[in-house]
Amino acid sequence: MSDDALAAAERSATSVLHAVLRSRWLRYAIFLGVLALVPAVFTRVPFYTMSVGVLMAIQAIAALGLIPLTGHAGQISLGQAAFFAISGYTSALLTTRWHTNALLAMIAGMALSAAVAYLVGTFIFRAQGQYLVLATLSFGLLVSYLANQLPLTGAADGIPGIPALAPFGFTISGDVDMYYLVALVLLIAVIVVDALLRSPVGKALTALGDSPVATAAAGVSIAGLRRNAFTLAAALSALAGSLYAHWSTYMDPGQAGILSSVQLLIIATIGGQRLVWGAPVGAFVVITFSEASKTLIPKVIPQATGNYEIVVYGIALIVILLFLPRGVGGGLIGLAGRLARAVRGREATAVD
Amino acid sequence: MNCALEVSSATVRYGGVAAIDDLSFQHEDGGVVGLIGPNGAGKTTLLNVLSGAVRLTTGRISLQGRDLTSRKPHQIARLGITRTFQNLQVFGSLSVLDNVLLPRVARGWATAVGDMVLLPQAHRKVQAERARALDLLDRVGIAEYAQQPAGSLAYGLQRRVEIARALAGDPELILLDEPLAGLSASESVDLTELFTKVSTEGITVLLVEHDVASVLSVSKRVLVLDHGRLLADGTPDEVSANPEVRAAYLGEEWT
Repeated sequence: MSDDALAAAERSATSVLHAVLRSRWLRYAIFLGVLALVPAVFTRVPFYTMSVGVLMAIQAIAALGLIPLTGHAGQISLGQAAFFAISGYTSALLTTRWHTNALLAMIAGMALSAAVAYLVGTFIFRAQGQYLVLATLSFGLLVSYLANQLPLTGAADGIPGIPALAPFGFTISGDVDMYYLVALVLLIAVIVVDALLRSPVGKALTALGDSPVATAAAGVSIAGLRRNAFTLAAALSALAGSLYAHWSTYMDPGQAGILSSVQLLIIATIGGQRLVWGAPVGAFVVITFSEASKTLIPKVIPQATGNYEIVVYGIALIVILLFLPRGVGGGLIGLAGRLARAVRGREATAVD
Repeated sequence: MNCALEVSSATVRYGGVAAIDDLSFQHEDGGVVGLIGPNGAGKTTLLNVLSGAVRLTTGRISLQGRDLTSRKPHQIARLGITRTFQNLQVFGSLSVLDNVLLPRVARGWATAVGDMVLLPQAHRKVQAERARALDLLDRVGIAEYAQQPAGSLAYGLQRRVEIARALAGDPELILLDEPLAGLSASESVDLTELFTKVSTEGITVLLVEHDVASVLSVSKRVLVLDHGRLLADGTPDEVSANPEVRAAYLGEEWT
């Protein structure tokens, strides 16, 4: 290729980069395109199956609420899996025992989770600093214990036989159908949370993360703001929980476990906590790691058990955060910005 | 309208030590009120009490007759007392403009949510507030940085962001905690002129400052704290002639 053609290609690549950095609707369109491509790719590549794709989208929805809550307001929550489970079990109970419509059961599960989060938030956000994390942890442990013990939730056996979703007469049969449904829900959730972060409420959340005392001095109730962000995060996790219940047809106490909450926090952190893209990017990276290690570790170490997976997780997390402190998503944005600036700088010198 | 601040028998005790000890004063005529005193005299504690960050052990505070004694910081801000911080507390990752917009738009949740879902009326309100915030930035002399992240600004400029943000809350009383610390002489002059101008617009300014000369030159009334008590109270001339004040400041700079 001649130098001129190369320069022209570089220029058009840069203008595309600029457009993507500037227009959020273009970013949503690209995300839609990526989501639409997943089935074609995942059915042809090792480790990936459509059920992995569904799981990624569900986990991305569950982790999305951590972007405003943890990434902006600075509040770490170890209770996300509890809300996932409350909604999942609500869906399970309503549909298997009382034969409620699955969509209604899902709405009921989300409403219950959000109500519990609002109440819990009202009490725990009177506390300060690190005690808040412990409060969310205790709540998570409590729900996990109840799921394991209560006869209502089937104790350790869980609840099997949960019917599939049938929104507006369409029956969701199989992982491909389910994937399109959860991918659509994820896309909508990403757009809504992105709009929230741009709104004055989102600015207040960012302010809270920067300086709680100054946020209060600006006339904003920080306890109320934290509680509302906590409730939103719970509602999103609940949405994911019900989707999961109707997809897997089975709820077990493992879904309520603290490790599940930790995994959601890892997803948001690996993906990048400051941008909505952190949740889907993190879900993709973390679940790829866990699927790959499930397949590869037994081949490398034949006597390996599930615990090795956690070790691999831990190492991956440390390595990624060492090199990309803002997560994979944040790192990519930073790289795009640097590229754009570098090219602009070169053009400026060329003009001189 | 001038604010009527009343502090009666205010005491803040940490264990056995009284940071503020049975302090009483009133202020009704607006203007700039200076608050000075040696280190550890209780100046910052008094500001924290007035802004709700620290609770009184005993005593009472009111503004315009409304009791503020056990109110939370955000309630006090809405009732008309806003503040700046000695250790800078700008919202570093928000733009300068958003720092100043926050006190005005984040209070009305209806507006905030309405703007989010693009309700035209709510959106117009946010746009109007934006124009007001830009005016305010212009007055404080940082309009050109409106779109920059506040955390990227130089120290002196961040102080101005805090002052603009405190003014944006429509206060009756504004508390300035050492706003001139670390500023150059010309920056200090600019800001003290701004304080005077603000006070002529009906906002009472309570100025805590280490630079005694600046306080004396700009204030119409000066309160001197020492060991949590009111050591002197009067015009700058009266206070600087007071032998007790001079004794309290012995060893410190007194110009």
